[in-house]
Amino acid sequence: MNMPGIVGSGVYLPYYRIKLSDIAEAWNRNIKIAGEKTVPAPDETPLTMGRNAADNAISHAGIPSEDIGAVYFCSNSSMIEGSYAQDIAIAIGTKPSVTIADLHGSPRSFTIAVQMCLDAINSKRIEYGLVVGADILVGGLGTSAGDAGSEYVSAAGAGAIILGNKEIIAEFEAIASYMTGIKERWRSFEDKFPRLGDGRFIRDKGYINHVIQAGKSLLSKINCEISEINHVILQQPHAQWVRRALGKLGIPRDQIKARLAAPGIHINKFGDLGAACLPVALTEVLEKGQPGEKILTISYGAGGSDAISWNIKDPVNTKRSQAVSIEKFLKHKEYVNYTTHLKYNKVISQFV
Amino acid sequence: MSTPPLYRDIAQNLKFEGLKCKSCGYVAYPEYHRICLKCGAIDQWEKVKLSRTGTVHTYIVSYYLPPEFETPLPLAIVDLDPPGGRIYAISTETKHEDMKVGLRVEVDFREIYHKDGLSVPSFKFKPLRE
Repeated sequence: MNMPGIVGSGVYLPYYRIKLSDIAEAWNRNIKIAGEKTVPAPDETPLTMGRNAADNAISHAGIPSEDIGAVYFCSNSSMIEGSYAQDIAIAIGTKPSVTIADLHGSPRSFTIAVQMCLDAINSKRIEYGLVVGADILVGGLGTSAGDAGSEYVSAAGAGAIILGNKEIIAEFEAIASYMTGIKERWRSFEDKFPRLGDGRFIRDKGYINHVIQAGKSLLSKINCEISEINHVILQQPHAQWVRRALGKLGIPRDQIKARLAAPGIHINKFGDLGAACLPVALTEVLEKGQPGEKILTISYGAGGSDAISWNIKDPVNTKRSQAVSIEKFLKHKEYVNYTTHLKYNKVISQFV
Repeated sequence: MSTPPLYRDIAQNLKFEGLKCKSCGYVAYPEYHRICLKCGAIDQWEKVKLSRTGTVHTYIVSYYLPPEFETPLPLAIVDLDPPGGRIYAISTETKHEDMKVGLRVEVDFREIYHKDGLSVPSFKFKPLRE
């Protein structure tokens, strides 16, 4: 049986950036911190970014948008009631019979939506499915640079992938999930910023435990060593967490630096993109990856992880010319200061 | 927030589609007219996907706007690349001193306004970034 897979992917990242050292300076923190993160423009929303990423994915896939039978929108920061998936479906021009769903509350929603799409394709209910991940994450003011969910990591962006059975650039291989129900991060209706559990506890018992359990379970399922995986992509809530998880997955210490600089690890360039992290990372990898290489993606959120393995296929090279390169979003950027970052994230507004 | 105009404008706000006259090739956006403004043909329209790139035909810079807009804000008439069409649009991420007739621009999907907690997105232009 032909396995379904990714037929196209696309990203959208904001033009504005802030240097992490500028955030530290605003709070008089005497720390040396490298890196930067994206800042959404005031007229960017998860919907607008998600739609732009979806357009780029469709152009990369080279398929008619009427053939897309399912649109899933994944986000931590979209509307609580009301659907962005339906707006994207209308915008790209699907048929009215399309299945739509908005998945909220966790970056893991992206890999859940991927599974929903793969199931629908395998059952021949749909030909192609579009999964969009888009987030504008805003960290609590004055939070520590060492914490996930802080101002230093919370960023904005969108990514989209199209799954199908024809002209596949990355074939789905296997999936393994792991869930304990740990509550590491939450936000109620009244909360402006996410609330986080105890730093090191949620890092070790939450993120790292789940990522490792799901990852190792998948590796044993496909009978593979971590050294045989060409591209390891993890959920990226914090650079130090990713570094630690790569080590625990079995990557030798002398190779971790290279893995952190490889395509697909973007926490120091873009920040924590939430539900957009994995589709953006997959797009980065598929821009450089070659047929025969293997990709491991591991999501994390809301006390659970999904690990998915993919095999890159031949059309990856021929379809490259149809893609809007991620280089476009790396090359064109403008730095803003801390106050503008707050204004653009709608944390402060003009008195009227 | 009134629902009927929002519903009527869904296609205009979300899709970037125009109507092309089968008789003379004129592209109308966003309004629907039965009669072609250029050649007078009646009901000779076909839907056409508009190009997301174009050139500034003319522009103004607006200095006094409600607080949700960052001013000075350039607004322009943009001639789209083939199949053509002309749009009147707000800019985004555009410095007013960079505006000029002939500036190459790209069309981006952005929030136009929000009211009663609902964000209404449509199309804005910004300098072409390749």
